[in-house]
Amino acid sequence: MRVWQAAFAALLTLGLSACVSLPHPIGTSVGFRNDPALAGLWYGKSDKEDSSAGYYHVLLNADDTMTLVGVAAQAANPEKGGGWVVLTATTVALGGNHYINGREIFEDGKPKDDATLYSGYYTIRDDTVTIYALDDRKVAAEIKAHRIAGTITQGRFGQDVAITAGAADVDRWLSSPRAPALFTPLFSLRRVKEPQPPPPLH
Amino acid sequence: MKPVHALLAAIALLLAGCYPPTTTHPVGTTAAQKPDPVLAGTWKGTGDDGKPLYVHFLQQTDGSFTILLAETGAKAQDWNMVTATTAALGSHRFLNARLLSSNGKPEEGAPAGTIPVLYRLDAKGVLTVSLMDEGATKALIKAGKVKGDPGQGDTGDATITADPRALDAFMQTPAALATFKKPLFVLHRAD
Repeated sequence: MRVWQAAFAALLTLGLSACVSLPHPIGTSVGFRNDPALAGLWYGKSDKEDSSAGYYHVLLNADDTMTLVGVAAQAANPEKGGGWVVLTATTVALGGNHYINGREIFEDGKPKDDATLYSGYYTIRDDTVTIYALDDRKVAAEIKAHRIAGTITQGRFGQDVAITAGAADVDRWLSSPRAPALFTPLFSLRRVKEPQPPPPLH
Repeated sequence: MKPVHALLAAIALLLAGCYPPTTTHPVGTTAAQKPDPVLAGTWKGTGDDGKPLYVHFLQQTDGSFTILLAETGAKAQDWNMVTATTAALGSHRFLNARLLSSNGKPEEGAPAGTIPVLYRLDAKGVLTVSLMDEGATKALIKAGKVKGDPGQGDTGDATITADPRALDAFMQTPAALATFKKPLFVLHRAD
């Protein structure tokens, strides 16, 4: 995978959340419902990689899933850009907290067999959506305090935290008003103004 | 007539549910073919159905473009992937397009050739993309102006089978250019 692809995919798939794994998508016990506030086109990039800049189409499907189509912004340079990825995603509101789950299904037109689940918390303010990932240290503290079932093991780059609780317990845990504090900001995207149809002729 | 997905109404873009005319050879093989850098990037506009959409031209290492079309707006659901090469014949610019997938599903039953697409970029940066009119193309084939198969009846898909040299000569004639009647998309650069 080229550098831009790694950064781009990480940005879109909430890649940094991989150090905290969940056994089920967030919201499994209550059911998913598309958030219409996410529909449309978004633009953004990670703080570290200009090559991660991209457009992100959020298409709401009738079955309460979403399709996210991410397109690299550096389309003119095939060595630096010209790629795209597709995710299928679901959203759910637990308490007043909004969560998103995603799996990458296509990368540059090829189906992705590695259907890793990524989940995060998000907020939308002033046409900016911010995605947050679970913070491994905070979740580890929750596990140690027996507020959620899980395991903590030493990984290659730090501790690997795996939540093992059932779907209902996870959803109840993340419904709490204090749940957003367990997440750390990952990236933000700005809404792109939609093209307007031409005015009617008089 | 081959029924196809709705937003194919987007570059494979099916007028009235039919595939637009295709060519068995790409347009422009007798001239120097190279990717047109003016297309690369993101465009926004409306299709001939009035729906807003974004079109991403992604330049590939093999010189082709991958074109991603995505509806936009609160009720948007459809996205399509097209592959295309570009060619210039005189002052006229063409895409040779092939629909690859619709909403992630591979396109089945598409014609074997490519869809000739005429595009123009005006001084204001407006990109107008047009397909050949099916009826007008059938009439030219039947009149012997170009070698091809007009398809069965009024609804069969027209296929131009002329060899590359004859095809390129034909595509520069006023009669051929006149078949690109109705703009499919009118786009403005978004990036």
